[in-house]
Amino acid sequence: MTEKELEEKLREIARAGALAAVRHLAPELRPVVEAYNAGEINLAEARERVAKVYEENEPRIDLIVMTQRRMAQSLGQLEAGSTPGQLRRYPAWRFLRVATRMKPRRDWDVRWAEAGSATAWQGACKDDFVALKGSPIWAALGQGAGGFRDAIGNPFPPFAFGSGMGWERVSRTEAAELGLVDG
Amino acid sequence: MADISVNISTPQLDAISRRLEPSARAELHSEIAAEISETVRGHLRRYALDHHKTASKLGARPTGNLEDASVSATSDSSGATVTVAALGIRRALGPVTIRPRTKAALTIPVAAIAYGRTVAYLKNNGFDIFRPKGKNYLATTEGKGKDAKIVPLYILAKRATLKHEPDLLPSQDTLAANALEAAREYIMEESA
Repeated sequence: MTEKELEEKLREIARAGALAAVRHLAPELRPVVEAYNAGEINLAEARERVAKVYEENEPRIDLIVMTQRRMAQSLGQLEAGSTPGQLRRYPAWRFLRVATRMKPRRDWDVRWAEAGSATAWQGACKDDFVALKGSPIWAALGQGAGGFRDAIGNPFPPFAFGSGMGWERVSRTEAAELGLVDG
Repeated sequence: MADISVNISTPQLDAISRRLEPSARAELHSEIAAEISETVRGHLRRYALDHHKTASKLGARPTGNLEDASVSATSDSSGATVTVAALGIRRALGPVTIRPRTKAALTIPVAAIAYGRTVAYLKNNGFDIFRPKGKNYLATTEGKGKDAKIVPLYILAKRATLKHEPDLLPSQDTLAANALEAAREYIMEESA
């Protein structure tokens, strides 16, 4: 894959992710948004109905909002990390804890191994949570390779609901040391 | 939510930028914006992981306001702007005094359950919240009958001042050095 193709692919993922974020609106809120868009209810009524839905589903909606916030953050990171210069200087991501959680998942090493096996470790390290930005391991991780049912389906963090794991860019020098790119 | 903009302009960067055609200048600014976005995002996350004092003190879950701050960039041939939006981010520039906008008082959490949660949220989740007579806080009760005790949840305040946190953002030197590095890289690639 050429650098230009990689850049295009990563931008496409970012755009698709933004659409997915809209589609993942809490199902209970969709009828309200649709009724408002269709002119069936006015803004005041829409607000009231959203407030009611929120009150009835607060913990679940909180989780959705938190996850959406993390998704938006990752999309921004994906976009900024996909310029030609960033791809040259920082060709890989490290997957690490970026936010504290009261009960963090302890199985990310298993998920990483499953996702790596599913994609023949293309552009990914076995011993470190590091992979090239265009590696298929990210999509596999997001799809819950190995049967993890809490996976969200994104090729970018958060890969599971409520996860505090995210990306940090990895320099070309370090990626070369890890054998992911030529020095 | 408050936001601040990060502006990077140094004589070296300006000199590099001026020598370029508008289209190349736009590309250069896009690279600088991307570099600064990533620098700021990484810094905020590291800062947040090291600074959960209030949440830790209360034994509460951190709010995640800084880890997930929105960092966005715009750029064109005239320049680049990186905008950081997060609750409390203005502390990076100086002390911030906050006052209630719609309520009579600010509610400052003093219990783990109240941290990062509004009074309305707790009420919706079954907490009986009240203001004990003559006290300047909101509380709930724990236990029943003669074992019941009052547990303060929020102190009420007319205003609060958040202290200046200059380390909340990377230093101007770091931002300028990273921007310059991105610019140098761009020029080298273009002239290769």
